[in-house]
Amino acid sequence: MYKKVIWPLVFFMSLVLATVFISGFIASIVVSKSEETNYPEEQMESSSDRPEEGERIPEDSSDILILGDSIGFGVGDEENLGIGERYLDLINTEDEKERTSTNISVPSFESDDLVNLIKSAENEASIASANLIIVSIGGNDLNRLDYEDNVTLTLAFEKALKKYKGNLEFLIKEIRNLNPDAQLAFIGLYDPYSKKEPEKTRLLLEWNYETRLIVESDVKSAYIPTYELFKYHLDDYLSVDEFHPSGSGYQVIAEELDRVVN
Amino acid sequence: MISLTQNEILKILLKKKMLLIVLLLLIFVSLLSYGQKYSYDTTIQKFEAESGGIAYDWKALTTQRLNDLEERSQNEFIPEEVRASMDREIQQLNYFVENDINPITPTAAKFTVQFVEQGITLFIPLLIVILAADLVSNEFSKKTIKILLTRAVPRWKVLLSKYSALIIMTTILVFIVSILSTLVSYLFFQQWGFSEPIVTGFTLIEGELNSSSTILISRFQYTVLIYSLLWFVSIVIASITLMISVIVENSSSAIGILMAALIGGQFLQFFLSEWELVKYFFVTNLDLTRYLTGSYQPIEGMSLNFSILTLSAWAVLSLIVSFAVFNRKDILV
Repeated sequence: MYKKVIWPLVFFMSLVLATVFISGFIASIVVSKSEETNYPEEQMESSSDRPEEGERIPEDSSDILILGDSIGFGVGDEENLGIGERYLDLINTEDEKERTSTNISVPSFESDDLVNLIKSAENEASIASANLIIVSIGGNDLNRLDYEDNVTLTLAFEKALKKYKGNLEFLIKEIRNLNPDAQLAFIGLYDPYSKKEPEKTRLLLEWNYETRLIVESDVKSAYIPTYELFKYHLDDYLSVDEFHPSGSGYQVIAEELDRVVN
Repeated sequence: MISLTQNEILKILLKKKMLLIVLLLLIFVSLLSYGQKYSYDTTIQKFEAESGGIAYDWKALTTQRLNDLEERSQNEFIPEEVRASMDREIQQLNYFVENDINPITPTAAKFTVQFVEQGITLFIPLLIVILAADLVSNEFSKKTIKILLTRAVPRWKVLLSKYSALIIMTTILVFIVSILSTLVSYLFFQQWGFSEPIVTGFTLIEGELNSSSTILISRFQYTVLIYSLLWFVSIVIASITLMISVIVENSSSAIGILMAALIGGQFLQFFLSEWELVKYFFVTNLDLTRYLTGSYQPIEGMSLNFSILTLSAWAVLSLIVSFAVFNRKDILV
């Protein structure tokens, strides 16, 4: 009895399952394959579109320009001000002249993305007209290494640092081409993780040091250190996501910027 | 032919090996889901203790992230591709907020997928090896091969019936894995979570992971995709196991060889970035699911298609070798 029932049961069940699995298998190949062929076309389209858009000039050219990643954008700030606005609040109280700021930071940007952004013509006008350019970049380059295990970490770090240094040098050169007189300010990286992993802190400090070396090679560029500011105040200066600065964190960076630049 | 296959299936079933595999699965799935539940609870407790007794409020966090994203996608400076991937994240987060589901809660749907992602390189292939390793070698060690081959059936038919039976049982085994891991983890988590949207379809552009062409599918569809990949991997492992089983006349050596290959292959992966040849080893390519998740470190020259082709080549070669060897083998028992 058992033998007679089990055979058709097993046979048809496996037949149905195999159909499902084969179609699923084909679907997953399609899902990951279709984009491989589609993407280059899209990329070409978008890159050919860019120069045309480049004629658009932002209506009000402003004094302060903020470039970079989520920290430049102000992610985590409860009042949605960010470094630029907070810095403006500081200096606008000091002298009468009203200044404005433009923020073209894009959260999750890495140094590669910023280089692409600088290259696109649409932002040339805002770079050329700014008096102060605040750049926050590199945090995502470095943070991506979190996925590495200990074996590959050092190697991956060297590789990422090398790429980042190249991008940073290119950025400074490109900004200087467009705008030789502006004051540049580079926001250093802080360590959002409390001192659980000394090895990672060491890498972060090395990263900051290398940034500093490149930044200081330009006369009107300043490096704004944040590591020291945040070190003992992570509870106050980090927002609820425990990664981005809070409002008071941004305030401290803005004050430090004010102290260094003025 | 069909009756031969039917006979082979009955042999596998009567050996009670399926029962052993189901038991092993039950033990591991229960342990893992209990562990996940436990670590989830302690994380929440730790979070509450650290924030000074304030109850963990995921909704506030998620809403903050959602507002943040919506505000950002208004920004006209954001490139179109970035905006598209932001919109997908917004959709995803909206689902969580609307349905009042904490994004980090463990659910049965998440667990079944995770179980495959973790198990596809070692645990599930080992189950297949248990199922398949003594398929032919057992006939030798029990000397029943004589009876089998003295029938008026060509040898290749005997082996083919064994292989078909193995494929059928592998298919059913994959199904059992999905059912068991879903049901058992549901007992622990009390959440199905199959309708939750999930992002997939990451692509490699010049060695970097690109999210611009990702699509949003439900977790159920995603689970089917993951299990289909597991099924393919299982078939490949079954074919390789069949070859070893034909060559080696002893079940325990067959299991030993395959275990050594599977575990040794894991170590070989350390050299993957420097040593080209490692990329063509089957163990290196077993982890097909990682190509769908977008959280992997891309290795040059390796994609889903490459892995599938390599695995297929291994399967076809093992089948050719098994049939060739089985046809010519001297039966000295």
